[in-house]
Amino acid sequence: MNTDEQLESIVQQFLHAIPYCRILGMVPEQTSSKGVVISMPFNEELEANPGSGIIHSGAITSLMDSAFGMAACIALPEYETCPTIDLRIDHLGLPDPFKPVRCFAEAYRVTKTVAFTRGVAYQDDRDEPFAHGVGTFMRTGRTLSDMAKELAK
Amino acid sequence: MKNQSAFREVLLQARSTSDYSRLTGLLPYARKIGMHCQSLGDDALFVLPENKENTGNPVLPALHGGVLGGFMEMSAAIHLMLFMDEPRIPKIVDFSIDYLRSSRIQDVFAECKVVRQGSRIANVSITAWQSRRETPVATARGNFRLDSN
Repeated sequence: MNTDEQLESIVQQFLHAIPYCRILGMVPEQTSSKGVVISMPFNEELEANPGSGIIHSGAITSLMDSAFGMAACIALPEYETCPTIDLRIDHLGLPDPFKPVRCFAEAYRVTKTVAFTRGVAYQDDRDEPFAHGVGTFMRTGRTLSDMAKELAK
Repeated sequence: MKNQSAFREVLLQARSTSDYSRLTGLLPYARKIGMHCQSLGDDALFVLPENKENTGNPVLPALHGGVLGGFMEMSAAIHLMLFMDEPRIPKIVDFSIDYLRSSRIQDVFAECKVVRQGSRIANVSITAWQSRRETPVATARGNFRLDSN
């Protein structure tokens, strides 16, 4: 089992290795065996309407998908690639304008074949989320290096 | 809101001329991921052109699932704006996506169908594909509020 420090470094490396996450400026704020918190800064390129200061729900979907994926990965005994099976997001309200957003995600059940995750998107207070979501991920049993080897064949 | 009235004008024009090319340029998130919209007979086709920035798995490599979701959600919203009886700005209530295949770093296409438009809520289904329409990479469903404000 990895320590929280090891998990944090894994999440950091991941976010950095995924071009889209890096471009959106996603950074891990908290990582432990209980879940992850990933933050994403406000950026006017992500606005729903120009000048509104409100991050478009599509970018929130991206943040939550990434955080759920991280939560699924760190919940497994060894890292495996976990493609998303499905994702559902409820938009409870709008985020406050011009402020960073965060997503807390946890894997609440891991079976032999599937990791079930859930989480919320919020700004200051996790108990006042503006979006709530669930996501399921498939366990492939293949590690990243297995996959790289297969591709090299 | 100056921006909103400018957008409304372009939307009305797009609806009357079936030239959808200017719409996505006015929506920052649509511009960021590089998507655009074109007319396809009486319908609209949404395109997310190949872009390495949208990579989610550099080893496979595969498109980021969140970008695909954002693209499909944005497509559904624009589709509603274009084809509702009255031009209104839909607000997302919930969105659900099923990933059916790994999507490669290639163009993605999406088409939308309004399953039901009530007075307050519209339900839209979205299908996205890459090489062939018959082998979708994802299907999604969104519910939108249609308040007049």
